[in-house]
Amino acid sequence: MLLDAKQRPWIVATSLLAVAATVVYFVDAPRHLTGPSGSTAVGLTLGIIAYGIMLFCAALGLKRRVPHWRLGRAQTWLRAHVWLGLLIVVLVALHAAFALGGPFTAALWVMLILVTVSGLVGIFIQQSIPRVLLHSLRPLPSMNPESPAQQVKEMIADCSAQAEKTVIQYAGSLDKPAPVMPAVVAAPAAPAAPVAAAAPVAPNPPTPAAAVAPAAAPVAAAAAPATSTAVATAVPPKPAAPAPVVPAKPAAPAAPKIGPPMGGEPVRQFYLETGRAFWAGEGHSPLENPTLAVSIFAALKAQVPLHTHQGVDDLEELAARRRQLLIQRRWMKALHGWLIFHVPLSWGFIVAVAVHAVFALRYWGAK
Amino acid sequence: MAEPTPPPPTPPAGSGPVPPAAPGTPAANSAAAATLPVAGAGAPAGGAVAAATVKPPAAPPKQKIITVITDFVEGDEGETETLDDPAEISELKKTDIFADIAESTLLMLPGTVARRKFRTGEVICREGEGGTTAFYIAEGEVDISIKSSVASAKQTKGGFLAAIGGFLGQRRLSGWQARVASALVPIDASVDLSYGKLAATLKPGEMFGEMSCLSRAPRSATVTARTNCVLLEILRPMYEKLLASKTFKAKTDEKYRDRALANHLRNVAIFDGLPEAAIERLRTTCEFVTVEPGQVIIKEKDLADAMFIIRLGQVRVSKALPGGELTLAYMTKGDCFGELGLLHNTTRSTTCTAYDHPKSVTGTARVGYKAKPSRVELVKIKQTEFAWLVNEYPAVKARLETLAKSRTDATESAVRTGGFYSQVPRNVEDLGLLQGQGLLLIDLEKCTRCDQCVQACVESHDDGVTRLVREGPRHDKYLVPSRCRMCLDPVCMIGCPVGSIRRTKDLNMLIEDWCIGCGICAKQCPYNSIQMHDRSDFAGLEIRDAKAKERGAEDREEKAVVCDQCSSLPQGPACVYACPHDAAFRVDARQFFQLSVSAR
Repeated sequence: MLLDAKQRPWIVATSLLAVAATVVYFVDAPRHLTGPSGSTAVGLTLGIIAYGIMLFCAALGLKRRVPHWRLGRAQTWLRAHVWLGLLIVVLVALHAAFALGGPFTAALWVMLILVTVSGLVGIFIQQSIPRVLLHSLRPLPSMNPESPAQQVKEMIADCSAQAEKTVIQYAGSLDKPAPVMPAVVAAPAAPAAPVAAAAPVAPNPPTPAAAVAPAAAPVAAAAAPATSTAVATAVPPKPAAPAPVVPAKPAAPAAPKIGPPMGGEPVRQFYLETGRAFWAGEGHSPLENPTLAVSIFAALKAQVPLHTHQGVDDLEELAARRRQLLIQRRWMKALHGWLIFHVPLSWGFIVAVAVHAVFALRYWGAK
Repeated sequence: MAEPTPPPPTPPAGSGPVPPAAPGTPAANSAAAATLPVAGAGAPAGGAVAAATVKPPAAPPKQKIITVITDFVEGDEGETETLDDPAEISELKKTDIFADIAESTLLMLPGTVARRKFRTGEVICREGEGGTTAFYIAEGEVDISIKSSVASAKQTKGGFLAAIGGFLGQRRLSGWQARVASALVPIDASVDLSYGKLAATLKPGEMFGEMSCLSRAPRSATVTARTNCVLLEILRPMYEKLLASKTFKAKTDEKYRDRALANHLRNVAIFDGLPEAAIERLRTTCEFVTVEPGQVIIKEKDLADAMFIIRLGQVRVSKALPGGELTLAYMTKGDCFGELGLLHNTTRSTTCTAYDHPKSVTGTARVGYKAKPSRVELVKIKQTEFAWLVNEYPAVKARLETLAKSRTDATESAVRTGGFYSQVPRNVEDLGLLQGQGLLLIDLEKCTRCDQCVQACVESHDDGVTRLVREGPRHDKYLVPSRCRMCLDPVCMIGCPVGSIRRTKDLNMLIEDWCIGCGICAKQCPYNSIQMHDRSDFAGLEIRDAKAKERGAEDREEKAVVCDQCSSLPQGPACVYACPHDAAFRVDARQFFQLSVSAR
C-alpha cells in the first residue's frame, strides 16, 4: 500500500478519533479520586473499542481468504486496517492511563508495540520493495523481467534441469569425458597412415580423452556442424599423388554418423566443478556475481570449438536467469517476510488481551 | 458430422461424375476438391439420408455439372442421378445465384454442385461436425438451431465457508440472463439466432454453411428440414466463383440491406430520431464498400463526395503535417466520417485508412501463426442523399454541425499541441494497448505480488479456472497482464466455427458453453489473452442435459477461456475488487493514455 494522497481522509479520520478519545479521557480523568484507569467507565469503553478494532484488524487475514465475498473493497479493508490499527495504540494508552501496570499488562504493552512496529515496517517495505523490483530487474532474452512469485521455485528447478540438458547435449554425458575435438595439421600425413593424420592440437587442453581423438577423426567432420572453423573440422587426408597403391582409400560417401559431441569436455568440467552447485543452489558460487560470470563464460568459450559456443551462450543465459530469479526470490521473501512476525504476534496479542479482559472483568465485578 | 452426400469420390464402375482432367487445370483442381467432401454413395446424407444407390451412367464419362440425388423414399435408399446434357446448365442458370456464372466456368467445375432433397424433419447437418460445403435453399424451408450441450460448471467446494460464501458471495446481476437472452448468436447462415431462442427458419433463396465451405470449419448449427425441401450443396471451388459473381455479392448485400441495415442506421448518433421514411430512403439508396486493412478510404484534400458509416472494423483518422502524419483518432463500428467535407462542400480535411492490430503484435504473438486481418466494411451515403437529408431534416443538420465543429476543434487542438497519438510513447501503439477498451493495468510500484487478483479471479468463476495471468508486456510502471483487453477490433471473433465467442453489449468477450475447443480464437488473439484449458482443469464440469448428448453433443478435450470482465457481478472485475493495494485497475486505454499525456 502506497502512502499517497488517497490516504488523507483516513489520516484525518484517525486523527480526529484519537483527539476525541483523548478529550473524553482528560475530561473524565479529574472526576476520579484515584485517577483515571482501565476500570473506569471511560477506560473500560476505550478498552472495549480498542479490542473491537483489534478483532477487525485481525479479520483482514480471513477476508483475504475469500477475496470475492461482498465484504467491501480490499483497499478499504487494508486502509482501515492500517489507520485504525494505529488508533489502537492511542486507545490502549488512554485505557491504561499511560501506565505499564503489572507484569502481564507490561507484556501486553511490549506485544502491542511489536505488532505495531512490525506493521509499520511492513508498510515501509511495501513502499520500497515493489519499486526496487520494478527498476532493478531487467528483461532477459528468454524471460520477462519478473515472474509470478508462485512460480519462481519451479522456474529455478527448470533452470537447473535445462542447464544439465544443455551440458549433456554438448558434452555427451556427465559421467564420462567428452571426446576432444581433433584438429588439422599443416602438412598431410603419410598415405600409409591416413587416419593418424589428424593430430590433436589446441585449443583443447590435454585431457585423457585426447588419446582417443585420432581414432575419432573421420567422424568429426560429420559430427561437427557446418559452422565449424578449420580448427574444428577434420579434413579427410588426401592420398599422396604418386603413390601407386592407395592403401586406405577414403570410404565412399557414407551416411554421416552421429557420434558423441566433440570438444564439449570443458563444458562438462565447468558444469561439474562450478555450474551444478550454482544451479542447484548449493553454497556460494562465483556465478552469482554477474561480472565474474561474464569472465567465466568468456574463458569457457575460448576453450571450446565454435559449434559449442551456442551451448556456452545458453548456459550463460540460464545462469543469468537463475541469478534474476534468485534476486526476485530474495526480494519476495523480504516483501512478505515481515508477515511471519506480524501475523502470529497479532493473534498472540489478541489472545493475551482476551485473557487480560477476562481476569480484569472478574476483578472489576468482584470490586 | 457425416458429410451430406454430394457425388461419390470413387464411384463404381465408370459412373464417376468427375472426369479425369489434366493436372493443374481448374478441372483437375476442382476434381480433387470435389473428392474431399464427398462421402460416397454409402455414406448417410447429413446424418439422415441413408446410403444412396448409384446408378452407373450408360455413356462414357462426361463432365457433369450437377449431380441430382433423387427423392428419398421410405424404404428406399435414394438414388444418385447425374445429368450430362445441356439441360443441366440451364437448370443451374435458372437459380439466381448462378445466373451470371459463365457456362465455360460451370463446365470447368464438374461435380461441385449437388441437388439434394430432404424430407420434413431430416437433419441436413449437425452442429460441431466437420463440413466443407455450403447449402443453397432452392425449395422449402429449413430450421437452423444450436443445441447447447455443456452446462456451466458447478462449484464443487462445500463446507462451512461455502455456506457463508453462498450468503456473502457476489451475486450475479439479475438482468444478466435477460441481457443474454436478447443478444444474438452469429452463426454460419444469413440470420443471427437469438440467445433466448436458439433457432430460426431459413427460406428459399437463402444460404447456410458458407464458413464451413470456405475454411473447413465445423458446422456452427444443426439444420433440419422444416418442410420437404430441395437444396443445392456447393463445394468450395464453385462457391469461390459465386463470391466473385456480382449477382451473388449483390444478393448478399441485399440481404444485409433488408435484414440489418435499418437497425444499424438507427444506431448512428446523427440519425437519432429520424423518421422511418428517412431511414427507409437511406436504406435503399446507400452503397456497401469493403476495404482491406491499410487501404486509404478517403484522402486529405480530395473532393468530398460521400460520407461513410463503419459497419465493421476500424478506421484510423490522420492528418499530414510537416514532419510526418499525425493520427487524430481511431473510429469503430457505428462511427461515421466524411461528413465534414460534404457539409461545407469542401475537400477532405483528413485521411481515413482501414486499420488493423499492429503488425508487430499480430506477427509474433503466436509462433508460425499470423492472425487474420479483419476487413473494414462501410456503408456509403452519397452526396445527393446527404444533401437531401440535411435539407429535409434540420435536426440532422444541427447535429452534424455540432459534430463537425467538435471535430474541427479537436483537430486544431491536436495539430497545435502535437496531437495525442503523436505524444503517446511508441511502445503503447506497438503493444497494441490502444486497442484496449477495458485494459487491465497493474501498477508495479504499488503491487506487492500478493496474488489476490488471481485468487479472486479463480474464486469468482464457477469453473475454477483463472482468466488472469499475471505476466505480460510492460509499459512504464504498468504490467499489462494476459487478460482480455476488450479490443476495439476483437479479431478473436473471426473464424469461430460455432459462434461461441461473442461480444456482449457491455463490450465484454464471452465464450459460450458450446465452445468446441478448436482454439481458433486463442490463435487469433494477438495478445495471448485467450487460454485453452484441458477440460479436466474445470471443476465439476459435466453434461447437465443428458438429452443433449443423445442429440449428438460431444465432450470436447479443451475449452477456450476468456476474461468476461466479471460483468455479471455488481462490483465489476473481481481482480480489481480484491486488490488491497489499489494496484490493479481497468481503463479505457485511449482515455487513460490521453490523461497520462496531459499530465505530462
